[in-house]
Amino acid sequence: MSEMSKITTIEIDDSLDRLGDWDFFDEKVIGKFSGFRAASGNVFGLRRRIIDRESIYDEKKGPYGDMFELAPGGIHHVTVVPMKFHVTNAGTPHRVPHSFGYWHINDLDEVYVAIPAPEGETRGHFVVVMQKPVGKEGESFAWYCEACLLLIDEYRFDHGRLGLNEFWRAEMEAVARHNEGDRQCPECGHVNPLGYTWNTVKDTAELKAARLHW
Amino acid sequence: MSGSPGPILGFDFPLDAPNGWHEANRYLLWTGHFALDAPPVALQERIETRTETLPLRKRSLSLVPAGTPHRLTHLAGFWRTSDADLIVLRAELPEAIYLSLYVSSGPLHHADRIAWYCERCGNELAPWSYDVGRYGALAFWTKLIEPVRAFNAGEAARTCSTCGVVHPPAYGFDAGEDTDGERLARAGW
Repeated sequence: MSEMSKITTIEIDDSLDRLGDWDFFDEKVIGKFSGFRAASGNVFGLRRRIIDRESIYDEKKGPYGDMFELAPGGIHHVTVVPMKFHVTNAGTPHRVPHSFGYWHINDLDEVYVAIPAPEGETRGHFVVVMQKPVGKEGESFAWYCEACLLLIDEYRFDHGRLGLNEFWRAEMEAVARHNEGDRQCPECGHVNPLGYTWNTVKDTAELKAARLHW
Repeated sequence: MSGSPGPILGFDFPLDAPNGWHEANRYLLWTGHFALDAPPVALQERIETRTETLPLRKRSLSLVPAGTPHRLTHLAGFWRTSDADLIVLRAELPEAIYLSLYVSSGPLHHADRIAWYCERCGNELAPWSYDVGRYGALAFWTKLIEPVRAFNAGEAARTCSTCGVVHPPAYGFDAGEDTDGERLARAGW
């Protein structure tokens, strides 16, 4: 089995049993959303993470919840905490350090919520919902100079036209192309670190170091 | 001259805030919480001519696809059908039951409709449509009390034209605005 097949991205809405799969948190169903999956007009990403009242911990990536959003005034540190919805507005460049090594710019809003573990369990539910892109809606993988915030690289993914099945391939290609290119900022001269994908399975030693770095 | 407040960068809505709606661009989110012994809020859907009541679980995440008539027992005393998906998140924690609704609005969300179904024959009663494209997704939830009260105003509106059965009184969405009669209706179904 190839390593890439560990990621599930299935576009077919009607592969969900309308009534049999009525509860996306059901242990037999939630695995279908371990990557991202479209259902009707929305895209869901569902993860079981170690969640208590104050913190979120991803067993593969460590402490979770810190996020950066880029606004006209600079970088904003956002903390996604349990028991609170966070909405990243459409068009806001954002990234989760140590989780994916690029700025994600989505034409659609992203809604996050983390629910603490049920009594007697350690793993709660982490939910990401966004609308399914249609037509010309899509997203970008972008890199800003970490020293001066100049946009130095951007790859557009026409999600509405190509569909969710192509997302991870596009992400991998964008990261590879970025890493092959010149990462020195033409404005301030800073040499920026390598980018890395959301999935950790293909991390080389260099990519692991980049993931640790930012 | 005072400076611009700048763009809204994002939204944060605590689940334990007072029950209510929050607008976040295309999403309209409702956060609510109930006592553990409160009347159960169960999601119901009309599948063809029958009503399906989804089981109550301590945790659940359900999608009501656009076009599916649905309601929530003891919370929404009407059947809603929308152009937009609805997502229902339920989490029972030691102190309360938390319920969140996501209305997935946007340019394809033109109308929300409400109606009732005859309890004997399933005939649709008193259909009402709201122009969400013009007035917005949030306005529907406050405006719907008008057709609810018209439905409750007399037995004629609640009487099935096919089989003659009278539907029980309805109630709106915001329990804080219930009349005595609506409060009684909310307790009943």
